[in-house]
Amino acid sequence: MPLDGSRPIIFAWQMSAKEMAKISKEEWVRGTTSLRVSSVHAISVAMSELEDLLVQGKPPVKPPTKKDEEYNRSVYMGYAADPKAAFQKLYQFSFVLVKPEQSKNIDMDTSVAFWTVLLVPKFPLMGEVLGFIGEKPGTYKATNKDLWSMMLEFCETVKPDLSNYEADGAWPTLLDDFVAWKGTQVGTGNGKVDGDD
Amino acid sequence: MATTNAPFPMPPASADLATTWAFLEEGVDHIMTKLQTGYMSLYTVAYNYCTSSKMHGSSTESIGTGLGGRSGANLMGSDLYHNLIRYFVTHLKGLREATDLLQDEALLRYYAAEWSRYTTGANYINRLFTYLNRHWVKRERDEGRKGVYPVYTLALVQWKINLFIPIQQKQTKLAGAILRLIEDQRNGGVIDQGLVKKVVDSFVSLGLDDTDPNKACLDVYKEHFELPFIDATEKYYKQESESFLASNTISDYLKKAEERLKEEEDRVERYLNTQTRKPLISKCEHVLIREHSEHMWESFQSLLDFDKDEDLQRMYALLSRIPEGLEPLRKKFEEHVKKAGLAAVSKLVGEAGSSTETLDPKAYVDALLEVHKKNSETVTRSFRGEAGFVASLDKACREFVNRNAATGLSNSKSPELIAKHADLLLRKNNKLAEEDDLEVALNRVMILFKYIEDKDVFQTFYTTKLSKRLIHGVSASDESEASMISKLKEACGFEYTNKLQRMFTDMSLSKDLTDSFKSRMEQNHDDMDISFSIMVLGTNFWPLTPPGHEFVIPPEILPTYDRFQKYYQMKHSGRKLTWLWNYSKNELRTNYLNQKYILMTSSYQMAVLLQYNKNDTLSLTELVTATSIPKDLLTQVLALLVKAKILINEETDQYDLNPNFKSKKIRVNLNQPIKAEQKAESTDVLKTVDEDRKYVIQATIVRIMKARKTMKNQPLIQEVISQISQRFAPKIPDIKKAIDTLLEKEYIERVEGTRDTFAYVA
Repeated sequence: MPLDGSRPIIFAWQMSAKEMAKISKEEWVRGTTSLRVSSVHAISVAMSELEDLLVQGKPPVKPPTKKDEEYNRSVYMGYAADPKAAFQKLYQFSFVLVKPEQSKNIDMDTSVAFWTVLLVPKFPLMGEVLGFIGEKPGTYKATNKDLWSMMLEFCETVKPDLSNYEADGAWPTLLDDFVAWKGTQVGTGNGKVDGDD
Repeated sequence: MATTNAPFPMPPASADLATTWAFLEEGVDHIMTKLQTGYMSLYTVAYNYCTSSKMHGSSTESIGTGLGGRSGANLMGSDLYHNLIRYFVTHLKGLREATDLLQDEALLRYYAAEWSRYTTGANYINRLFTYLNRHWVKRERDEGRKGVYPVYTLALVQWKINLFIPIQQKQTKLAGAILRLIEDQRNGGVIDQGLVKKVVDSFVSLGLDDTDPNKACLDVYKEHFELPFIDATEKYYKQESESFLASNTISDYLKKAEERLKEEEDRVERYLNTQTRKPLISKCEHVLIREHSEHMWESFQSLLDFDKDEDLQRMYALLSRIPEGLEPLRKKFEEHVKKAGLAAVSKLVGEAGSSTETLDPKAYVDALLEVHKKNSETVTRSFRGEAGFVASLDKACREFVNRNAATGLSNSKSPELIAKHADLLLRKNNKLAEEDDLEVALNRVMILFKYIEDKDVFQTFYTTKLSKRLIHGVSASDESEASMISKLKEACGFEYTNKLQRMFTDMSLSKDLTDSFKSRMEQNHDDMDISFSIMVLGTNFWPLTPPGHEFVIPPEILPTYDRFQKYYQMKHSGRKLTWLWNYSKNELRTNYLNQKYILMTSSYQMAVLLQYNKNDTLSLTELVTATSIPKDLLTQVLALLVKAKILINEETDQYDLNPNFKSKKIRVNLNQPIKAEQKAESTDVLKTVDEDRKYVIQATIVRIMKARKTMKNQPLIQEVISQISQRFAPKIPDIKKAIDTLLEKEYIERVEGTRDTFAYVA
């Protein structure tokens, strides 16, 4: 089963795992039972379909006839009815999953890794945000819950050309800084970012 | 009426007795004999006629319709009334014909004379027909016949119809004559104002309110005089002001306009109806001021540049009469003051050379205050202290006090220089002879303090400087220190000066403590050849940092150190004493030289020098080991001692005691500040300020959120700014960072489902 991209996170989510890269037997039994998967192949199909739907933003698959079904798609169909809400659940789950138990934040490197797999595929603007963070090593040390939530909000509501970004809104300072930075990038005639519009 | 048309002409003033008596006798005789049959009988006849009930068939005339079937008295009244009208018409026709040939002043004189005669007569007639007025006229009016008037009013109405209107209809002959007289007066001519007043008053009297003849009504006055008068005024001043400005300076014009407005006010006073004041003055203001306001605004700058106080006063007074007049002046004034302030500082910086490091705080403060003083005087003198100009002055001062050539981009330079200046004033050697002078100088500092945006920076510098003054005992006087603190307290509140006041408390407690410790030690020990004084200073109130390194307490002072340590712990158990060696000082007596000197040293210098009680030569390494002072600091300490020739440094890293030390003074001050320490001071202060600000912003947000529970982002930021701007101008990104931090610390949270609303987390 390929374990690149967001699939491990989705799998952990489906198993309701409490810790990263670890699934207890109890979680496994409960998770696989509800998905009704009995083979690695079936898990692989289920994960890839969920990734396409939620992370890549592809249209939902048409379920084949009952008999051929590799796994129980009732959960999948529930997500397909409102992929945005489902993705938000996955996204918020990820924060809790990654965050060390005693801490309130996750460190910036981990945040960037997760955003790369979760947000960048559907929101190209996120790639630029990560580029910005990468240019300022050490400036942003950690991601708190608010920044985590607002990052998704930012991706979902702000246009790629940032024309509807309110500078005097309540965005976290990292995003204010990003927008200001992007303004100077365009100003210098870099032009590269214009391609996204 | 017979008397007014006396058959005899009035004798001239030079007449002899015979002529005079002949004239007087006629009058006396008239009063003695004919009054009874004349005047009284007239009234009686009118009364009798009106009250007789029998019909006088001969009279069939009536005024209006619907009079048939009235009682006799009513019809009788109607006849009489009508005859009166006929009489007035005939009488006035004669008068009118006489005016045909009259013009201008002659016309006015004739009109005024006839008016006065006519109204006097009409008054008498009115009394003769009192009965008619009271009964017949009243009933007619009660029944709604508006065209019937009491006899006096009737006379006026007839005057208006038969004399006034016909004359006016000939190119407004009457009003025109008045207007020409007024214009003549405006041109400097002397006119008969009494005449004008009489005629104008007649216009007012002719006004009639149909529903109530007794009520004053200005319709005739307004239509026939006021309107044309205002028009003529507008034309006159439009023409005059334009041609005047074409050949005169604005200064002269201001004078002229002021005079003209005054003249017009007087004109109303002298011979016009008071109701004309408002339209007349507002028209004059329009033509003389508003129409030329652009020109005045443009000339304002040069009046400011050349300090033309009187002209400025005039321009202010004139433009304040129109609502939009002053705002452009206020703006220009603000800009002017700002430029003056910036120029003053630029000049100073230019003189001091390019470096602002060497700028003399006193010169800087003097330059700022000079600009403020000059312009503040202008506001009081020329703009009568008007609030808008005061605001402009304050705005401009705030600008150049905080940002100028000396400050560059730094927000802290100005508060620093001003705090330094205050420090120099409050030091012992301030060169100000009198206490009063010092008080004046401190008040001047407060003028600038008011304009400082970052009052917290000033506070931090001031606190640091005060602590130095107190520790080193160089404060000029306790009264002046207290006075300055009370001024700051008055300006910024208790919290602002709390620390400063605590510092004074510590000082006086320390004095007592030193005394009581000394007397205790004198009782218990007899080896007191060291005199010792201590300052115990509260950590939270003093901007002092303990040394960041070890320090070996020299054995010579160790007993004293231990004794005090014990004594203090006994008095206040649980308190921790941190020894600030870096701020302490000592006096050492020399015994190794012929002349005994007293060396005034820092603790580090003392620690070094005491090593030479046992050695004559020591290496740097040995000294480091003996004192624990870090090498780089120690070399600076040693450098000063070498420079003072106490020690000799001939070989690298080797220091010998100079056995031939000589000084002109017995007391030798070696305790000079070390350069690194001086520089560190400013940056330390700024670091402290930055840290403090973070907490102030966070604390303010928490306080606001605790009170409001939930709040949107924008109002929250505004509230924070308004609460903090008393102390410094918080930057929005700093506030947002504080919000980030508080979100992270979970003092506040984003309200679920909203993007810009925060809630307080209890």
